[in-house]
Formats: sequence, structure tokens, C-alpha cells
Amino acid sequence: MFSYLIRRLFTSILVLFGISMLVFSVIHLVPGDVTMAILGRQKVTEEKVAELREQLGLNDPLYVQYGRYLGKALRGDLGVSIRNNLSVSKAISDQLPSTFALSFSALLVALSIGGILGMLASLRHGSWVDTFVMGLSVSGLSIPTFWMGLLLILFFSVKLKLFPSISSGSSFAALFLPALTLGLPEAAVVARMVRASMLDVLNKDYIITARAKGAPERLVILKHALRNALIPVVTFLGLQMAYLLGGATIVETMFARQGIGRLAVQSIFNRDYPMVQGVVLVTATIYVLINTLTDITYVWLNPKIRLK
Amino acid sequence: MTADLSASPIKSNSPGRRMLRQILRNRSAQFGGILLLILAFASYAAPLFTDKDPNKTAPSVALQPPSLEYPMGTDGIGRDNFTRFLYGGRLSLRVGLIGITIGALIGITLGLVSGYFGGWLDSVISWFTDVLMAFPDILLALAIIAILGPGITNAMLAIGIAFVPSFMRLMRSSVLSQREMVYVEAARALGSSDARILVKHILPNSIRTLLVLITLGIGSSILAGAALNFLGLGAEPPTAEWGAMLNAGMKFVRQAWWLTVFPGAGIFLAVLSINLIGDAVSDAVAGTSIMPSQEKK
Repeated sequence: MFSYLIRRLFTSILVLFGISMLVFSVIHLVPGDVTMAILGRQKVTEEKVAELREQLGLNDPLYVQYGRYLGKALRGDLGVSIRNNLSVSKAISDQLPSTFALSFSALLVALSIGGILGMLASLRHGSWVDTFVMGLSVSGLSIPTFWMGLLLILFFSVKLKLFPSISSGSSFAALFLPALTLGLPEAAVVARMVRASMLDVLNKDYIITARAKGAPERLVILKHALRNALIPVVTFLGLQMAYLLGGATIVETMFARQGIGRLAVQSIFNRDYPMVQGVVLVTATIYVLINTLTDITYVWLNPKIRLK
Repeated sequence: MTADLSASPIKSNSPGRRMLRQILRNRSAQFGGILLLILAFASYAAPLFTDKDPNKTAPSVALQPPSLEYPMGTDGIGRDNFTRFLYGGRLSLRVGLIGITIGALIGITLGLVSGYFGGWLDSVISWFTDVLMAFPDILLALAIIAILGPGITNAMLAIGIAFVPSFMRLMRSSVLSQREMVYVEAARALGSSDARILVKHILPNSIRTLLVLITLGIGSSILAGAALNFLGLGAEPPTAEWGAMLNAGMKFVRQAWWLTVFPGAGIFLAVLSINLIGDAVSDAVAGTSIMPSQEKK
């Protein structure tokens, strides 16, 4: 286990290193001169351009620039926004809680709805319930997040006037529609996983044994089958969470919610490169951390893999 | 379909044919196929169904609800929503197809090279795809658009690049499992060049696995394209595109439901039809093996 841990952490560090290089190069890959892209068609003086180049540190050799970028990033300094001179780290840490609240509540939606549907489908395998759930699931996989959100707005907000269509904050009312929007398509994935996993477990010898010794069906399902069927699903949780972080971009824009996803989109429009770099770096780092933890948990739960 | 095939005097029984037959027999794939054909035909033969111009404005008939004259209503500046829906479909479908093609071409090439040659080249390419994979899908596309700037061509490129890692990984693992097989060794013994072995032998033998990723990928690619357009990072106004139309319609969500419901339904149905076909393809790939005797009846 220990040697696996070391190897896994080493891979993650290599990947994080690559991410930092890629994010750093964003500003250098912009076609043409980046200062022109930022200043646009404004009438600018030579001094203004020189000043911006100085601010972005573009006058030093690349490796010096990268070293400085990495050194600062490791200390939590992601530079300063070109548009309003505010600290990028501060802007991101202000917006992160809102994105986390959204992703967590969406995860709850996905797990509860997807879990129940998946279980029902597996217990009624081959029946109309199964067909219906699988139909719902393939629809859920095909539905664009933003259309899902729109239909929910039309129903809950325009027709029933129950929930706001523009929502910031973490109250139940503010999170209800955004969390459903983000969580329902994900519930489709969870439902498929739970169903497949349950079907697999229900054929195992220990289930037959449990039934043969006369255990009540409810107990067989809840205590023996579900508990084992959830292992692969739980290990998949990390990936789901990470996916939801990405999907938050659209949901936040749609509901005009605070959050780093919306911050990223706005910064792209503003050509605020340091801000875009910051958001991408932070999100990708969170993603890598979650993935690493997921892998380690998985191996820890499955000694078979550990020994290979 | 099946009746035709069994009636033909010489019944081909190649694995490819058997797979195709199984896909064609699948109910949901039939439904998906018909749905996709209708959508594609409606978009590409748009002038057959409407004589209006998708970009012609007529402020006097702004925000009309659906009627016989305007089957899907009109938008904020009086453009016919039905006409825009038809023409918009062309672009949405094209973004998906081109996006996945770019991703598949780059990813498959990298995977072939990486898996076959191994060594430091493999390590570098694998590390690079690991890095790309560390970005949640849409975020990678956003980063690429941040570099290239918004626009429909850049959106296609961004989607393509976001798909590279999945194709690369799949291709690489397929090459690794075939590299040491006897037929590759035989080809090498006969003096085939590496390029010939890769393109003539290994690639065709990996098509079955790649097929699933390609079909399901088209669906995800259409979704991703529509999402970028919805965020305003793709097609520029007045171009009709489903995601962009939905974005523009959001301003009128309280007055004009038809501006958002129809384009969204277009994206949904297109992706649904492809996913239904994709599921059937993946069942067929899993169910039909190369050896006829192992085929599931």
C-alpha cells in the first residue's frame, strides 16, 4: 500500500506540474501579441503597452517567467486581474464557496434520485419499470444542462412562481433549481451504475445463501446487496464531484449565480488572462486532488488491486 | 431488413456484417436512426420546408407565438423561429461532427504512435494526455477558447482537443494488446514497415472498440458545441445555431417560451438519437465476436 501511495502521489505531482505549465503558456499561445489582444482597438501609447508588458512580466526569458509564476502560485499568489487590479486568489476564494454549495447539492440530487431509480430498475429487472428507468436514463444523458435548467425555470419559476430564476446564495430556495439542473442529468449516470452494480451483486452466492437461510427479502436487499453494490458507486463519487465542478460553469451563467465557473466565462470575454489562468489552475488542481483521493480510496477498499 | 438479408442467395457472415445486422435489428437504434435522419434531412433540405430567410428581421411581427404562418413563433426582432431552427440544426450537427473528427484523428494517431513505439515517446505522450485529462471537459474547451478567442471554428477546435485524451488512451491500450500478437509478428517477419503494420493491421483490428467511442462521442460533441454556443463563445450573431438561439431566447423566457424550448428540443433529440444508436453499437461490439461460433444468438 505504501509503495502504491508513493507512486500515485508522484504521478499526481507530475500531472500538476504539467497543468501549471499549460496554464502558464495560455498567455503565450494567444495568436499575435497578447498585449494587443488585451488592449484591443483602444488608442494606446507605446508607454501603455510597455507598462502592460512589464506588469505581465513578459520581458524576461520564458523559464524565468515560468519559475516566477510557479513560485508565486505555490505561495497562493495567482497574480492580479488586468481589468480591476484585484487579487486573482482573492476573487477565486470569494467565489469558491458558492460553487461548492452548488456542486454538493447537485451531488445529493444525483445520488438520491439516481440511487433510488437504479435500485428499482435492478429489483424489477426486465420489467416495464426497468425499461422506463433506462429510458429516463438515456434521456438524462442526452439532455443539455442548460435546456434542463430552462425547462425547470419555465415550470417552477414562470408557471408556478415557486423559485427564483436568478439566484445567488446557499439557501434552499436559491439552490433548488440550480442543483436540480446540474444534478438530474448526473442522476442518469448514477442510476445506470447502481443498476449494473446491483444486478451484478444480486447474482452472487452470498445473496443466494442469505435467501436460502430464510432472511427476509428486505434485509437481503438492504443489508447484503445494496451495501456491496454501493462500493463501486462510492468510489465513482470523486469523479462525479469533479464533473459537477465543470458543469457549474453553465448553471452559474444560466442562473446568474456567483461562482468560479461564471467568473471564468466573464474573464474570457474580458480577456482577463490572469483571471482565466487562475480559475483554470485552481479547478484543475481540485480535480486532480479529488481523483488522487478517489484512486487511493479505491485501492484501499480493494486489496486485490493493491497486490498487483 | 433481416428478411432481405436472409433471402439473398449468398449470405455474408463477416464480423462487420453480423455487427451491422445486430445494430439494425435493435429497436432503440431503429428509433434513433429514423429520428436522426429526420433531423438531418430537415436541416440540410431546409429550403424545402420554408421559403423564409433565417436572418431576415421584421420588427412588426416580433415575439409572435407559434401559428400556422410561424410554426415555432418569431423572435425579438421578428425572425421566423422555425426557419432559424432548421438552418441552426446544420451548424449544431456540423460542430459535433467536425469536433469529434478532429479529436479522433489526433487522438488515434497519438495512441498508435505511443502504444506501438513505447519508450520515452510513450511516456511523454501519456503524460501529456494525463495533463489534458486533468481538466474537467468544458474547462479544457474554455481554456482553449481563452487562447484562440471566441468563434465557431475555435469552438470546434476546442471540442476536438478536449476529445483527444479519450481516443488516445483507447487506441493506446488497443495497440498494447495487439502489438505482441502473432499476426503482427508475422507481418514484421514478412518485412512490413512499422507504418504499414500500424495502418493496415493494428488500426483495422481496433475499429470495433473505437466505434463505440466515436458514436457516443458525436453526441457529447454536439452537446459540448451547443454549450459553448450557449455561453456565447461560439457562433456570432446573427448566425442561427441551436445553443446560441437558446441563449438569445433566455432574455424572453417569461414572454416567449418558444424561443428556448424548440432549439433545446433540437439539441436534445439529436443527442438522444445518437446515444440510442451508440448504445446499440456498444451492445453489438460486446455481443458479436470475431469468431462466428461465439456469437450470441
